[in-house]
Amino acid sequence: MDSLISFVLNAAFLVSILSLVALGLGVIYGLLGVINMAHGELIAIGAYTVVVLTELGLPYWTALAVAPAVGMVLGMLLEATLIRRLTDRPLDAILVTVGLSLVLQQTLKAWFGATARSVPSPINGTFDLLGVSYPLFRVMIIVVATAIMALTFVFFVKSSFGLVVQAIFQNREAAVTNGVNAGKYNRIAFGLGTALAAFAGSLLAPSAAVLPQMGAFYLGPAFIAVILGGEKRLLGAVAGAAFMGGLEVFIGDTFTRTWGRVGVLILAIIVIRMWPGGLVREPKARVA
Amino acid sequence: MSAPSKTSPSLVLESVTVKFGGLTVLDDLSLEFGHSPISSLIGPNGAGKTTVFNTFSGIVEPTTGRLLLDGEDITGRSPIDIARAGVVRKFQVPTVFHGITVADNLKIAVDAPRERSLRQQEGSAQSWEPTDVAKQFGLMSKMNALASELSHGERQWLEIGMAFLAHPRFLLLDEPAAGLGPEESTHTADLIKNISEHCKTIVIEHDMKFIRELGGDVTVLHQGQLLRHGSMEEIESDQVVRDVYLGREANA
Amino acid sequence: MTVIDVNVEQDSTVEVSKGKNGLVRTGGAVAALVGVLAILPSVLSPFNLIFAAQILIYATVALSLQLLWGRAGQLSFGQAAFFGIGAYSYAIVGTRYDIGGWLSVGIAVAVPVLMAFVLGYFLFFGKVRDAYFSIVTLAFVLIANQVVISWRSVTGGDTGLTRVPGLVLPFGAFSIDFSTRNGRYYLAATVLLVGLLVLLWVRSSSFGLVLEAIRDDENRAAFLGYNTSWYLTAAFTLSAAIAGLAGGMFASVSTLAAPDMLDQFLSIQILTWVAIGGRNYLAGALVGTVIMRILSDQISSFLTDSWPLVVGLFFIIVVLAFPQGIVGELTRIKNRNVARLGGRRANVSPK
Ligand SMILES: Nc1ncnc2c1ncn2[C@@H]1O[C@H](COP(=O)(O)OP(=O)(O)O)[C@@H](O)[C@H]1O
Ligand SMILES: [Mg+2]
Repeated sequence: MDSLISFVLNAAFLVSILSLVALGLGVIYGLLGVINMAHGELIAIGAYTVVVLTELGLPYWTALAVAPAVGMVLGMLLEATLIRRLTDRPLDAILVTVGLSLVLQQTLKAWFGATARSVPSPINGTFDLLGVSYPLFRVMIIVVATAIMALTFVFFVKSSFGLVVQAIFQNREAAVTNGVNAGKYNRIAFGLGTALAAFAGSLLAPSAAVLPQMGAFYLGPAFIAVILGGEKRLLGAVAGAAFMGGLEVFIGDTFTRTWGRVGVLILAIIVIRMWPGGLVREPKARVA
Repeated sequence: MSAPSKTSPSLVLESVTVKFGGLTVLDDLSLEFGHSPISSLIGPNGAGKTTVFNTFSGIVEPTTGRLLLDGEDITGRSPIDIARAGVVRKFQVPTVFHGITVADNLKIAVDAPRERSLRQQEGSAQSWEPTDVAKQFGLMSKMNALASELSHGERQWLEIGMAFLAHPRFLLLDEPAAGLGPEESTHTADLIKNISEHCKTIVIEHDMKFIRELGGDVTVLHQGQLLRHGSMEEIESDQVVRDVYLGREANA
Repeated sequence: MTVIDVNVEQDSTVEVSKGKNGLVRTGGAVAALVGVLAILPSVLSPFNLIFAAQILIYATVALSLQLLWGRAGQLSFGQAAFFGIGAYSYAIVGTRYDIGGWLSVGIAVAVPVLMAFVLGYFLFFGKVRDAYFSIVTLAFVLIANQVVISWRSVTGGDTGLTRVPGLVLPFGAFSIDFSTRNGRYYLAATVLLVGLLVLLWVRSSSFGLVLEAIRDDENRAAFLGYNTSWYLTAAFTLSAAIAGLAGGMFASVSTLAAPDMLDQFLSIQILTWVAIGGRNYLAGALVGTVIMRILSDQISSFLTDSWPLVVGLFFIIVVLAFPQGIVGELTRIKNRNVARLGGRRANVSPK
């Protein structure tokens, strides 16, 4: 029973971080068709925002507002300067984000050094659930991440912006012929995606070693989560993240952490192969 | 594998229904090709003509019904297998390999893998070489150009030439004259008539003049069903066909 | 019939070196390369010679990616996995089982080949392509890296394997010792030439032509009857064979196998070499690797650790402004000058 509860809490923690990252990737991939290889660095930027703010003496909670703003502005800037030039060359857009990832990581290293920074946890207590004590802060993260995800969905389902985005998801050409300014939506979507990554980073900062390459750990699984969920479904990315995170913690608890990682990656490869359109399949004409 | 039949080749849809979601695109349709060296498939936009070709080439699997090649059931075979059995098509939107030369495009077509029985078949298109086809189709001077540098018409011809070189027994041409000028169109009709001496040819077209130039028999499709079948004269004088199709065009 | 005169200069940046002329030119280029490779030992310092040997092997791995990406159109984020698996295979059998000679070379190739075949068959016949394929290769390199780091008893964990034996290859009564300083360089040069010859063969073969066709339009190739999944699996496997050979010989030349030989970062670096040199050109992979490795060495000597920043910026600029890479740009400039000198190149039909 104890181990079940700690499994659930550990999994929920990983899943909530992974979901934010995957949701951000999914918005970008779904709308722009770009696999953002620099997404991991945006996580790190979110975490370093916390480092800077706490060193300035500001409370941790301010970072939760500032980090996504930093991510949003940076993302929109990147879209406007680089990604926009490559809308009809999706593969090259991926390559540019690879270069971007190198540049951002190195810039962080130059600024903050290559050694890990740490941020004190803003809440120190533990949370007791049926005899298992768990850091209260982590429980907070789970709650906050879930709330932000819910907000994101409400935004996509209810706002007029979100409805247009959904229309672009369904059929980009039709949306554009109907007078949608795709460029504007691309920029906002890219910014939104990077804001989510930076937000994940700011949540992660107090319970992780803050390093320029810290995002790499989440990037691979998050991509796979997007693909598992089906690239055209935002909720799919979260489902994919739940699958990846839950399984990783489960295998990791049962065997070793390495096996958790390796096992879930192998399973992900199998799932991508067996259900290429995501776990929920849509009927499709057969192509060679 | 059955030996190539000595009887005339045939390509048949037998009570085929194709549905996409709730939309019935082919409705219990039975068609037979192969009696005439050249056949045309006509009908208003959305009648299901391209879907007939997609079914023949294995892209679309019939919801019900069967697909027969020389009497052999080939329903559910993969596009690759069907191509290897000698059913080769040209797409509605010209599709060639744009990053390689015209000569290489033709080479790939002539080298395409085929069932052994087809390779050994005599008097078919197998004896044709890329240069013969390039001469026929006026592509000799473009042999070393990349396919991406061709004009629209040349691209149509290249794709027809490729399909023809790929050892077809049935050559399915989807709108081969689309986007061509009147002269180019006439030239294309002549080319297709030449080709049809070597393999059974089925052509989808909208242009009535083009179909008249081709000769052969005509099948009219309407809302996924067979409307009429006959010679061009019969079709053109048929009141029902005029109402659903020709009349509409004439009025437009 | 209509005759369409095309009066535009040939501005294409795609490699066209077929026919007799192309053959002579390719032969000349290979001969020149062999000449340069033969001279290097007498002009380079011992230290630089090993450095050069490593570059030659990196260039081989870049060639292997060029085959998969440039020719077959499938981008791998995991090319380093096969390089590293080759390196570890060679190092493990050499240090733990005392296996050397041809057998160790065979193992360095066979293990990655087997894995690539299984993975490639599984993926390509399951219609996994393009971005999905790239992501899976990324997952694969992450897996390989994790396994190598945690399987300490066999792989040496984080430190890897050191004192990997050099290679001695018997040829009948003779044997060539590739474990001396010059020997290691010649081994690297041989590996590069082997890789290059394989790729030149692919380029001139109908196999390579079909790969290009698949890159341009896979469905069209399938509707002509080509089993495109087999072709892609074969390209992936051949690419892994070359990468594995390069990796195994890298372990031999540098006498170690370490986890950074099969990680994401090396994969990305290989990608940048090919893209910067010119993804559609064999020469691009070579030029890109040589330039980037030498630059890397020069820059890191005075700008410690900021090399990735330079690579990243350089890479972004190339992708944005010169997608055909250095060799592609040079070819374009050359073609333009040829066109200017020889008058406008007009394709007038004889009719
Ligand atoms: N893959 C598909 N999925 C859904 N509907 C399709 C598909 N292919 C064709 N259709 C529909 O089937 C109908 C017939 O299409 P098509 O065969 O292309 O007609 P035609 O070639 O006669 O103009 C059209 O209404 C088209 O929208
Ligand atoms: Mg059609």
